[in-house]
Amino acid sequence: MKRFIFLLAIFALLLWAHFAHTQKMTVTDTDSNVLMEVSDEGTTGALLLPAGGTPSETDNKLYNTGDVLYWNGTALIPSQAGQSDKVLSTNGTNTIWRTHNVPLANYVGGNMMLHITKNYAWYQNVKSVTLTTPGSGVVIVSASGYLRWESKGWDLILAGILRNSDPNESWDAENEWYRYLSVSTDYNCTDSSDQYTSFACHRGFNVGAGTQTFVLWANKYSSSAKVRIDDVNMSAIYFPRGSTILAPEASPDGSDGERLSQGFESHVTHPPLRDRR
Amino acid sequence: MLLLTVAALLVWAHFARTQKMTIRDAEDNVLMEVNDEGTSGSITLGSAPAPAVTANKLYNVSGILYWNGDPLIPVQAGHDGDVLVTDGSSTAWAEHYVPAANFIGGNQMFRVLATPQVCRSVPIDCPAPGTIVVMVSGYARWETKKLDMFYGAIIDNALGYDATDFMNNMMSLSDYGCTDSSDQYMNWKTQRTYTISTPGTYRYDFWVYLPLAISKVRIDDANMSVMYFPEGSAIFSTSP
Repeated sequence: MKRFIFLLAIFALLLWAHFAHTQKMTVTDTDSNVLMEVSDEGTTGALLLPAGGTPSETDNKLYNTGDVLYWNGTALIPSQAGQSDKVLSTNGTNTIWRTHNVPLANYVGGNMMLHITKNYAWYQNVKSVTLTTPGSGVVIVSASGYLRWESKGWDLILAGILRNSDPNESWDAENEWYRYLSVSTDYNCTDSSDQYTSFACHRGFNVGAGTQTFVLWANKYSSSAKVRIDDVNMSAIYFPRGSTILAPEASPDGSDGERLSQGFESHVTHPPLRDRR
Repeated sequence: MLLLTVAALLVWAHFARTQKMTIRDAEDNVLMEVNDEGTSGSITLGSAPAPAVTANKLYNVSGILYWNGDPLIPVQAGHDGDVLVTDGSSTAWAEHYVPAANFIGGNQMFRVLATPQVCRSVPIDCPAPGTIVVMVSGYARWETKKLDMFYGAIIDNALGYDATDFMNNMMSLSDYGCTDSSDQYMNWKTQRTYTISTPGTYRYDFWVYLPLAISKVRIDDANMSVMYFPEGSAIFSTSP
């Protein structure tokens, strides 16, 4: 028995010498699984906690599940894989990654004199502004400028803002343009010199992720009208919705109202809309 | 040496039985434990008051893990939706609200009457105090050969039609007495800004009426939008 104990003591000393040589402290279970290791990193140490399952009791425990460090049942930093550009948030219990989109804006404007040359059923690109939106949301687009009435007769302008569509190319776009119209006339002003009116319109759009080009399309309806639009400033402001943390999600979506009819009554005899194509 | 070997064997036997390594102080208080969780381990750090010296120390105060004097993840209960922020020296959960907008518009022919009516109305959910900017634009159709004009104003829905608020924040537009009653139009735009001090759903109405009985006016395709800008409690935003 004494011999056995002596040999065991020698073995223990050899083991200690091994640890002293490799400069680490390892805690293993009886199946030789490493539970924890303190390693020598030169002049400091590091702590190794091998990955394993979630402990049955997690209170006041620091552990590694799937290479994510947990404390007291909660991931200190959840897995970052696939969570690019998200921010660390909490749901009140756990830390989680959440999408964080912020408002964006773009604008274009000023220093412009543009004669409106398009008449009924044709549409002129007055100004456009583009935004690249990272996710779903609302874009509020505004345009303002002033109008110069240049004939002695009835001058007018019809204008509307569309997104990613051309009313010259699409019936749907043309119909939408009519639903979101803004019209101004000069009240038949007989003075063709230095008569002006300011102009302003705006519109909201529901958008998804992608490039959004908003265009102010206009025509002067009548070939006898003569109108110039000057110094148009146009801006688009994006407000994230849905995927954004704590952005209001319960507001009703913007939508069309009810329209009763559409059309001018006199002044010009114009062909039916579709006949101009 | 014999006694040391026996002691080592006893310690080993203790580990083998309890499958954990326990570090205690002289009063037998457990300072730290390495637990066997099957094929891997965990470390238990019991809850205690913060150490007198915290530099480069990992410790547990009331279930919150601290490193170097700061909580790694602060208490999360009651902070649903908050984000982790730093003031340059410590981390904390902070409310984080972003601007939002809502709108309605287009496809409308609205007959303006002598009695005040709501032409457009838009709600918005506001999770925190802030500023709300309301805009309405459209165009008026003048329909008599005499003076056509209308008044319009944006009013907080909670007020209903408030004549004083209306008159203090109104817009007025006329056709200068245009004698042509057909196809005469004028575009218009108006806006108003509100400050809100409490979270909630707010709704804004655009009221219109004819101040003159002789007028006949229609409003078409009015677009109304509401933009909300949080302030105060929100990070990444600046209070005015």
